Amino acid sequence: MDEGVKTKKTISAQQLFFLILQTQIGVGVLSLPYSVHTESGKDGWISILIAGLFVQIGIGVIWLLSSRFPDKTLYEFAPLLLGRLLGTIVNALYIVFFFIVAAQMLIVFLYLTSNWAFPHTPHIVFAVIVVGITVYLIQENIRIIARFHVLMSFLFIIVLILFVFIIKHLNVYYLLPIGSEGAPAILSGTKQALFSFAGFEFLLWLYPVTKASSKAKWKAAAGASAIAAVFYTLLSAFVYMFFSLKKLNHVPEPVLYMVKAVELKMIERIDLLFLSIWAIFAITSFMSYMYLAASGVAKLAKAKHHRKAVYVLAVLILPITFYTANPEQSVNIYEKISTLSTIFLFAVPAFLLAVAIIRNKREEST
Amino acid sequence: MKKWWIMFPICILLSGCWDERPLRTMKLIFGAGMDMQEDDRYSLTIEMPIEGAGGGSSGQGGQGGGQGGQAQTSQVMSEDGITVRDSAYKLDRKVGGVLDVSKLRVLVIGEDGAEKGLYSFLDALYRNASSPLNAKIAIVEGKAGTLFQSEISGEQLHSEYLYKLIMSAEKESMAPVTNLQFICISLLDNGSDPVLPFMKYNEKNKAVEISGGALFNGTKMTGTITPDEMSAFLLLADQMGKELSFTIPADEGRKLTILIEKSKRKMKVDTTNKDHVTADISLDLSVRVLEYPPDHLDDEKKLNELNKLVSDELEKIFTQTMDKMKMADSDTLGFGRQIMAKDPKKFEKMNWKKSYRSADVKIRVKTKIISGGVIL
Repeated sequence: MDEGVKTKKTISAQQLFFLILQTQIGVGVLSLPYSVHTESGKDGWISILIAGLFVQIGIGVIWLLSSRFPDKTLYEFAPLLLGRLLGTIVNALYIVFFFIVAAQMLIVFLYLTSNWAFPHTPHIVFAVIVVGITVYLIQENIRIIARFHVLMSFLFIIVLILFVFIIKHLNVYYLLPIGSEGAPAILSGTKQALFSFAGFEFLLWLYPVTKASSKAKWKAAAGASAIAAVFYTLLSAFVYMFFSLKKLNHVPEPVLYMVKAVELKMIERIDLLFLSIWAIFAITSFMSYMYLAASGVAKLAKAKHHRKAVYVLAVLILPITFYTANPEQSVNIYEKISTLSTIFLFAVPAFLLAVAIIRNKREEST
Repeated sequence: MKKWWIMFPICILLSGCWDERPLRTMKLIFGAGMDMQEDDRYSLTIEMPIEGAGGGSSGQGGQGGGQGGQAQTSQVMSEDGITVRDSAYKLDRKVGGVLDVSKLRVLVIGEDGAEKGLYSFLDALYRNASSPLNAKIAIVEGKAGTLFQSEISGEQLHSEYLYKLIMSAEKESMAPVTNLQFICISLLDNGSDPVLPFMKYNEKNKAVEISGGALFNGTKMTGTITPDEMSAFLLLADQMGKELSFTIPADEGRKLTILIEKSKRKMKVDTTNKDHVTADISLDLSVRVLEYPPDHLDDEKKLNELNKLVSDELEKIFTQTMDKMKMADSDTLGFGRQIMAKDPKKFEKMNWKKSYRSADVKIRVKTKIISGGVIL
């Protein structure tokens, strides 16, 4: 009925690639090497690499599931698979999950900006700015969001250039011997790292709106995750080679701390430059999750457009900024979301795929 | 593009004023000296440039009563407290304006303080996001506070002068390339120890001179090395700067000054031996002769002799340096790190700092004289 609007193929495979990449690389970048290191020590980079492999499996599952319903997003085919009531519950849970993830991102964002650059600026100011531009962008359709995400991707190159300056200060011996932390430690680090790949589930919603062959869509999603995995692994390997292990225990945002040591002829405090770039990565992820949550709410409310849902969610998310006073709390939330995310990113899609196979549900593209 | 005008309100709205730091209300610290007093109180000495007075004798020369016709361009203050921060707050109370450390260029630590442990001096700096981790750090003989008080001829800002001094020393391989950030990493690494430039005030020339290096065991300073030994250490650690020179005794009481052009180092740490660690360091040096009065550098036989002499003498310096570092329990070359990389279990079992002294370090030097300058 309303599929005329919803199933229009509006974005290209390249845009799909950048949408997923930008959603994956978000607020977590700065502290990922630290949070993984608490579990798997200097072998954290291996944990991240393994997490990247797991994510490829997750993408495979999602792709198989979505290719069974080439014209429908998860919000649309979940009721078909599970029945109206259960499907709606799953959708609602996803919406809540996305909203919590978005809120957590905002909390981390506010905490880090105030801690590193703007200690006296009230949180609410940054919250309003970030939410404001997010609303401004995501009230539009997915194609415009995709264009913005593609446009911002040139920043990856700047980050890579920044890292070239660090190479000469690295000490390979900090990494050796490789794998000495043992498999259990490395795997529990992998669990920590998985959440930083969150964003690939976006494929469940982007699959029907992408204009490309099914295989090209898989390539774009898998490629984005692979790039993210390489990026994260490189980043954390750099951090582990830069800091000795004991020092790393003191530095919860090692990436920023590392770039602080770099001095270019003209520019001091490169960490601030890096922070600004990171802010854009963080905001693009935040936008993606807010969009997912808003489009879900619109679906539940049977609204034609998700614009109103965006406004509602924006108003709801602002009070959360008052909750950011305590960094321990946000770490606590992070841990919980991290566990939750494995359910929503891996378990639920796998379960839905199993149901689809058992009930032999499949649709053809129109 | 119809809404281009929206740019202007956005520009105004996006710039907040909570975190503005206007220069006129600030007192920038360019140089700082820290000491530990007998009663374990930290004393902090800071140097701030006076606005409008820098850059020559013109301008408002009268400020602070210029002595001997020269305008006073910097303000030095000192205070002590229970922690470094405590002393900093006490200083802040005396200064008109907010003290700001983000432009710090040089941090000098007094010898006594460094012997009691360096990290406690630096902790406050590491905690502050705006602190300049690329500032230079050095240890000074005596008190760091007196260094900032003492007169230095021809220079107006101590911090500027010390910064340049350290930078040029780094270039000439008289000091290791380091800063607050790098030093912290090796201070907290149990597999290697830092080396810092060591300097002292020269009364006669009214200048500060780099008098070698300070050796550390963990965070505590445990010894010093001479400038020659510092150069030797830099070669051993493969951290040679742009140039590096040695003066060594040649035959018949004559002296020879050489410049190391290129250095190739190979280091191998052998952990297979049960009770002690052996390390092999081989150095391949290309040498240019800077000064050698009896010039027979075209004679091949003579050249070979000279080659042998140079490598023998260098080997002596290297071994002497190594011995000093061992006596100071300072694992500056990071042997411990290499053992950890090869055999982490063994490293845990042994008391590395104890075995370091008895480690068997073999140093082999091969030199090649490539040129005698523009004459033979």
